[in-house]
Amino acid sequence: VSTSITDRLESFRARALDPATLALRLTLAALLLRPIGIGWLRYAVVALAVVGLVSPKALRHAMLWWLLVALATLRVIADWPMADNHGYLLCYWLLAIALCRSSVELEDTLARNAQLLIGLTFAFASLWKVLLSPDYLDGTFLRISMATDVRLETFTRLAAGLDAVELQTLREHLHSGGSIGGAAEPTRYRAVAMIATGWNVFINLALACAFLGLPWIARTRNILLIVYCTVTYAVATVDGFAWLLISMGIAQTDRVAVRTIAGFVAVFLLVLGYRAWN
Amino acid sequence: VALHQLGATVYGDLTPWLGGGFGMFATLDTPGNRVISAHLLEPDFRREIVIPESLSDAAERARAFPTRRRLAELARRLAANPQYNRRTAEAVQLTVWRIRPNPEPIRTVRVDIDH
Repeated sequence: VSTSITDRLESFRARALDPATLALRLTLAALLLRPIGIGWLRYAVVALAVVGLVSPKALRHAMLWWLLVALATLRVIADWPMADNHGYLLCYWLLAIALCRSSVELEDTLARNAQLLIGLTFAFASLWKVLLSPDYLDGTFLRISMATDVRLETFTRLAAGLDAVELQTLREHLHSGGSIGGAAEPTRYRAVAMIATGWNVFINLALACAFLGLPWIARTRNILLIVYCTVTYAVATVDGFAWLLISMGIAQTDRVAVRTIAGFVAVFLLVLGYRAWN
Repeated sequence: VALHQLGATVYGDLTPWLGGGFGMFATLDTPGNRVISAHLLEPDFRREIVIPESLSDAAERARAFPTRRRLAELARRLAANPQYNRRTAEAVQLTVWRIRPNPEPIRTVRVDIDH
């Protein structure tokens, strides 16, 4: 009897920690927590996500994923050009899952696709921040956005040590056509903006290199992604993007890396906490 | 898709934040940092007009990606509004502006009113 229980326990642990299945479930959970689209499309996505979560058979069925690909793509086309970037990433990821459902080597194929998608996402993000944007590298973007973007207000007040009145004064100065810099910009505020700019450039480039397989950094990719999601989504409240990255992060994690998988799940929940806090 | 977004931002004035190229949080050229000014042109003067709520979705898309075609369509819909389609009015003119870091016009489109 005890052998049977041990075997069943081992079997349960093996199934529970299967990274591919966990990634699929968290992808569906993300669609429930942050439904996409409007009207009937939103209800259809939520219904499919529920079906996939409650039925292991449906979760494994390619049709569920092809339907989600169709709905996610329809949403991006209907919203053009207003869909967020992770709307596109969701389409690619769902397409990868749907295609992999037909593959006999599901885990390996899904892992490779997840790794490439994360790598390319950060490669393009780096390209914009480092080469194409005229106002990122010199700190202008964050020096203005930290004051004017209400989504960054909590971070700005905590990190830059500004109270509500000081932040409002800076905001009004910028809204009335004033330029950044000079006496209107507190020293600590400027320092925080410049450090945050440098950190973002570093972490985006590091993630791109790590996930696209540069040998000297590839082994650190999971910890980099966990750190990125923990830090970034405490400030930028784009939880749908975070959950998508975490789901893909899990999909490309080795099944024996239990702590890494647990770390990803913990960050998934942490982002939910950020959302509740905000 | 990402390469198309690069082309659309460079040659078509799509905001880098949108279009699937992952340019979000990289530049001040956000949809929210763009505005559309709309004017009714009459023989002796031009009058600023307000884009009605019913056209807010079209205006939002035009701010994000101000193609000539999209702006012209918005101007035509404004011109069809009985409030603006007056005998003396000659045209509707729309200009999309970037307001940060410095205000600059991105594109202007004028659509004549057919009486």
